[in-house]
Amino acid sequence: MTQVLIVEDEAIVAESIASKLRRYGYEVVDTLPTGEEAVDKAGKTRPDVILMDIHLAGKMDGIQAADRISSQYHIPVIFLTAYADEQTIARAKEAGPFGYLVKPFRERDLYVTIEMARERSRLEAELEAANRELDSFSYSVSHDLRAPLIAIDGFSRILEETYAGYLPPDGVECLSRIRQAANQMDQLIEDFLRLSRVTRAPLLMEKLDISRIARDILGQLATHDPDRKVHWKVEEGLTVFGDPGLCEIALKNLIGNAWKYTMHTDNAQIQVGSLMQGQTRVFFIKDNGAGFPSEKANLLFIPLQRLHSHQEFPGNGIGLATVQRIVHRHGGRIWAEGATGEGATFFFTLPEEAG
Amino acid sequence: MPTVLIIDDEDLDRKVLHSILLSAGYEVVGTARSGEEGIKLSRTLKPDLITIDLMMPKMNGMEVLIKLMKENAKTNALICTSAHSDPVVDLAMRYGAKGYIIKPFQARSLLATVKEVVGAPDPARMNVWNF
Repeated sequence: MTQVLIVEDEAIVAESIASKLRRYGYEVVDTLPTGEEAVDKAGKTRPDVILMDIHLAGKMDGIQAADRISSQYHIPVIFLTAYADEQTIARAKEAGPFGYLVKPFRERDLYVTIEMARERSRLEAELEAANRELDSFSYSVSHDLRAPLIAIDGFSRILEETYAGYLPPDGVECLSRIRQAANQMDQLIEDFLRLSRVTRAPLLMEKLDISRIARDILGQLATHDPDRKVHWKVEEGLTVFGDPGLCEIALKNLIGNAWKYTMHTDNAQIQVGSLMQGQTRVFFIKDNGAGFPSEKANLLFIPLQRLHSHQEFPGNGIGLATVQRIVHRHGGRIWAEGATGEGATFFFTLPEEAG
Repeated sequence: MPTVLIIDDEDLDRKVLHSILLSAGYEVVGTARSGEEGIKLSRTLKPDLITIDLMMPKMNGMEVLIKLMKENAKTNALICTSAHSDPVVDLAMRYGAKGYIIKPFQARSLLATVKEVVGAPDPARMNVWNF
């Protein structure tokens, strides 16, 4: 039987809710008037659902109590309150409630809300367990896959450095291919790990100067690749609100791609800018490089999908999947336009303000 | 008294190894989060022993070992790895490692390995509460 804890400082209201719940077949574990008692009871009895009034007797209000309960015990909390003003709702959101019912409410709504909260809480717990498992899986995969690779590369290196004299030129060439392949696989594993970290790491949001970051990245690319002549233009004053580490990874990938796919292009050009789409600022990174078949634009963001051969343009097809996850985690969108031989433009949105 | 430098990118592993060595009476003179940082520190600290985690991003432990041995062939290095009877251990020995430490760390066996390479710690520094 589903166990419900009611936190409500008006005894008559509490009792009326309790009797309704009992009629629906729920077990009411207790009715409590304060947040402090609710946190204590939640820890001791672990009910399935908590119905929480926001204004309570005692120092702790319902939102603070819900915050404590959901972070410590992962029990779904549903707010039951007479208040529906913006400020209260904004604060209540922070506690991650599973429902918000404004008094007076209908019995049926209460029932549906409790059932939905139960189901969502169950799914979330399942998802969390799956993610934890995935984390430890990818950790061990990465370690156990990489160790043999280090051995393959290392022993090949010993052959190359110490015994090259005993091998015909073709044998030496084979060794260098073995090392090349081992390093490619190592890079692939590292990129996969980054992709999974990008999905899981907590976001630390701050104001970021996209223009400056883009210029720095282009400067670094130019230093590493002094033989390339690329004209670039970066719009000034582009700012977003995002996680600095992740946004830099995203921009590095996008700008790095523009750099890479213009390597066979005369008069290579890269532009970083923005345009307005209604009320939303859309950022873009445009190049005049190899482009891609326009009908395949939707394949770009799928891990391991590559639209060019490794010989033509080296890469493993994880970069854009990583970029997409980063943009999505910020609540933004990303898409691409292009045509074969006519360059590519990547558009994306990111939050421009806090919250 | 034997001095040790720890090179490991993982915070927890670095702390655990540090505390095991410290409470056994070894002097941990430095810790590094990356191979690059570790190589730099080894030049100034000149420790009696360097422990190198195998799995590190960018420069892995084997590359660090090779660099360290090239700079100073007398370096006492131990490789830390979670892979038991792996060819990796054999490779590390060929490149001059004095031994290996299995992760997750187990105080008794890792201290035995360390003792074999650099000798016993100073008994006066030993933390009796831990051992």
